Amino acid sequence: MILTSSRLGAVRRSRRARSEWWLAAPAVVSVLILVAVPVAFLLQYSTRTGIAGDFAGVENFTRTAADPYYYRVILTSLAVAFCTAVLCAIASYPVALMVTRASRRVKPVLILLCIFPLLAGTVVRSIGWMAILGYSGPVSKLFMAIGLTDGEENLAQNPVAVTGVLATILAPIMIILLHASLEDINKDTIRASESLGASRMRTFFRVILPQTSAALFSGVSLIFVLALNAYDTPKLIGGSRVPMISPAIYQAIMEQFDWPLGAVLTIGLLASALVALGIGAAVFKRFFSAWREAVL
Amino acid sequence: MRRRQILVRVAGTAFLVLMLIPILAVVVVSLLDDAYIRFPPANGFTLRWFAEFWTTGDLGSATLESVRIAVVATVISLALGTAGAIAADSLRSKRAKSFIDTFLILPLLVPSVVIAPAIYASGFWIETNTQVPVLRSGVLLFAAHVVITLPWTYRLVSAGMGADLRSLERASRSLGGSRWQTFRSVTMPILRPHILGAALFAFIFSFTNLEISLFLITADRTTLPVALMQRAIFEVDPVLAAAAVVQMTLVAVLMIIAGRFVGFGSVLRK
Repeated sequence: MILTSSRLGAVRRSRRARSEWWLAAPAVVSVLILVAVPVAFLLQYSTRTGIAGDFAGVENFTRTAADPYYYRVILTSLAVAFCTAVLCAIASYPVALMVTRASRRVKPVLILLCIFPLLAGTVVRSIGWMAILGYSGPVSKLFMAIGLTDGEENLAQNPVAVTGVLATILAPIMIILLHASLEDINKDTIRASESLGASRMRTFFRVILPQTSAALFSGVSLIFVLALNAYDTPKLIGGSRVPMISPAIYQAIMEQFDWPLGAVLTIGLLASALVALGIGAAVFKRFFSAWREAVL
Repeated sequence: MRRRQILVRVAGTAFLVLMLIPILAVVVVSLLDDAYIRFPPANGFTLRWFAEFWTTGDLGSATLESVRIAVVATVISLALGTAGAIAADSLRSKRAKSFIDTFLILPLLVPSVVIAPAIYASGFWIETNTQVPVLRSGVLLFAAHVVITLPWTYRLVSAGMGADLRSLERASRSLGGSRWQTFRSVTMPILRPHILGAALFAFIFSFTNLEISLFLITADRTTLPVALMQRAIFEVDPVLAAAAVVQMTLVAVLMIIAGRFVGFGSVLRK
């Protein structure tokens, strides 16, 4: 077929005029009716007296805030999530460095080993930790042998265990973010620093670390949000001794049928998540970009 | 200089081992011939827990249910995500494109313990007010799985689109190919590996999801992660470990297949 220039022009014009925007409609509509609308529907219960209740103003918020149990839930959640995020960043950094520096043959294996736990599912890993930390598990026997504990003990059921387990469970995400950022570093900057006589320690703190600070901060705020969101680890490793917000939301909505309470807790969770992401971004922008400019 | 390399390796390996050790623990418990966890183990190895897993409680049926939900959710999510990706790619306005980008990632950005109770509460309200059994029939369970896998299918298919695809499509159209011909013989072959990769990852994320299912399961429909969770609240026993191993094995197999189509980096890189 011979195309005249006018026909070619027509094709080009029609291509420009007709974008296939409507193809996105089903996806956008499903997110709208399955996420946006339901979340709004749930949140409005925070100002109601019950499932079929009337307007209650801010009473639900004051009731929840005054309850010492929920006060503890929120404090525990924030503390555990924060410690998890920081621990996760510190512990993941060497793994990310190791992956980045690995030879071409080892690297894919290491990446696979990092990602498999993430994809295997969180419940499975919480169950594994229950077996390791529980009564008559290996850690309990070890602690007995070296005289840390008198008898067989369940070493889960405390905030430290929950934090540690959450950090290992969420680490793959941190490692992936840090690895991506480390790969993007211009190797010449490292070589320049070393050839100018900086020690490796100095090179790390003044050249490598500043260049990954963006990933580090987005990673920390992301892990914080994911730790708040976790249901299985607090429930299985923490139990009733480490009350956290996700199990509390489940309990309020599915067991107590106290939707207003559930809505208030949900708002608490969303607000903490937004604040964390906001602070992460703000701190990063103000402090770390200054730091970056100063040291680079 | 050497010393710091070693330090990084030791610290890195140690933490990697900590990440993998719970998986190893589950595998070991599922293979030991002890009815409860004891250390050191007393009775050697067996495979009988895997046979028992099919017949004990609802673990076997929950596994089938999880597979069913994941298959349906993947197919629908893939159709919606691919269509969305094609639409976003065809848009000229940057703002409209970034609107679709952000909107379709919402199910990933909003914590699932917020989405799940929200869908449950809405479904409950619809059910009591209109008598349409959206919760009891499991429709919302399937729909929720579609929506939470949507960000992955959308992103992974989008990642496969670039300037090359667009110019090849334009070439096909200007040579007189119809829209359908272009889609079938140009767009699809280029996108196929990305679509396959997206399908496998969507399946994995639906199959292992706990929080969404937890709120939306019905009396006769429970998923494997929820069944694992509910049994684990009381105790970790070898049958439970066997079920966990089944879940992990399926994920491992799919992951290896998926790795052939898309790089893992492109899946999880934000």
